[in-house]
Amino acid sequence: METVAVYCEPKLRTYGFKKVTDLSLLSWTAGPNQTAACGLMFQKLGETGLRFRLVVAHGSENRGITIHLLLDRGMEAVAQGRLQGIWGRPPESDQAIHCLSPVEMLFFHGPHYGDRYGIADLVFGVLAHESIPVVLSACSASSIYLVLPHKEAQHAVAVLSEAIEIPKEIGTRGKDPREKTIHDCT
Amino acid sequence: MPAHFQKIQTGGVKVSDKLLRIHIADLLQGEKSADRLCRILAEEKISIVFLTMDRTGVHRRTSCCVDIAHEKRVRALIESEKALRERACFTGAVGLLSMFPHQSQLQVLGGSLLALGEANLPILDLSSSLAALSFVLRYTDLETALTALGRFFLFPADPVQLRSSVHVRQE
Repeated sequence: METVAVYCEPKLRTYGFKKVTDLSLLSWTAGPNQTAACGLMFQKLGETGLRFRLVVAHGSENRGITIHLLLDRGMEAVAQGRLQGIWGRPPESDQAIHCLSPVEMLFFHGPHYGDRYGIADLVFGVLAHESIPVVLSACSASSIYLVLPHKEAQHAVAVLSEAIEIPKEIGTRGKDPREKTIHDCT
Repeated sequence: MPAHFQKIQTGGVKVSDKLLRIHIADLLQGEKSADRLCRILAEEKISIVFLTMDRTGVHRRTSCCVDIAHEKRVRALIESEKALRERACFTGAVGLLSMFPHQSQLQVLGGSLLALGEANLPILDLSSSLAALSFVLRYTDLETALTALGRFFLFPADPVQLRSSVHVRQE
């Protein structure tokens, strides 16, 4: 069955922007056939109760995988220390864990974003026009996540708010009713 | 798998229809081919089902997936522009496997990587969203991936329908 949706929006709508500051981005590249080893490493790290804010990974042609794990900055030292201990690659290694900190995350959701054209173009176009660098991004289902350098998230909210309509009762402070406690993990 | 291992309860998994994956590696200081690709797809009214972008070293890497029904048109559009033609590569058919909820738990992330890694299934892309962990895999690997995940995760007795019967298309 196919449902054809027609959106008549003068401006793209979102359920509201959410901004999270004081984050750290840990990144590393695992070699061919080391995906399972990374999985074990995350399981061990998870035993400490630590949670992630965002994870993005890209596979490579040789079956390696580059993983980016976004965590609260307060957890950076513990996470990096434990990961380094488990992963055991020296800092000069190609597979060493790199940390970018502090960074910020901006995320928002909207109706059927994943089924609609032009949304990524609009978002990245606005940010590029304002010279706001994007460190990492993920657009999946109805969600758009942007990891931005320190002190850029507020700027991004300001410029995206010009291009995207936010319900007044939600703004950047309110809570998306669908969100529940998923990001209340600090 | 350790003897005390307990499977993790999930809300369910979903798999997509066939998709075309387009991967672009730009130089950070150079022309932004990925931005151009997003513009072209918007102009052609083609939805991006999944997109990730990262920076490693001197490169900005972008992966995006579109419905494979658009393959001919997308390939032709990319072929028509030198900068895109030189930087884009295609993988098809791929599929999106989404497992939820992750609840920001590293055990869920770890278990899924362990399952797919032990099954020797290459993960092309991965991203978390509000509730789901989504993996881009070769379409032919999806069934094997579901079986592999079943070794580590419990799926509900009354799972959310695996394949969506409702497709939303914007006109």
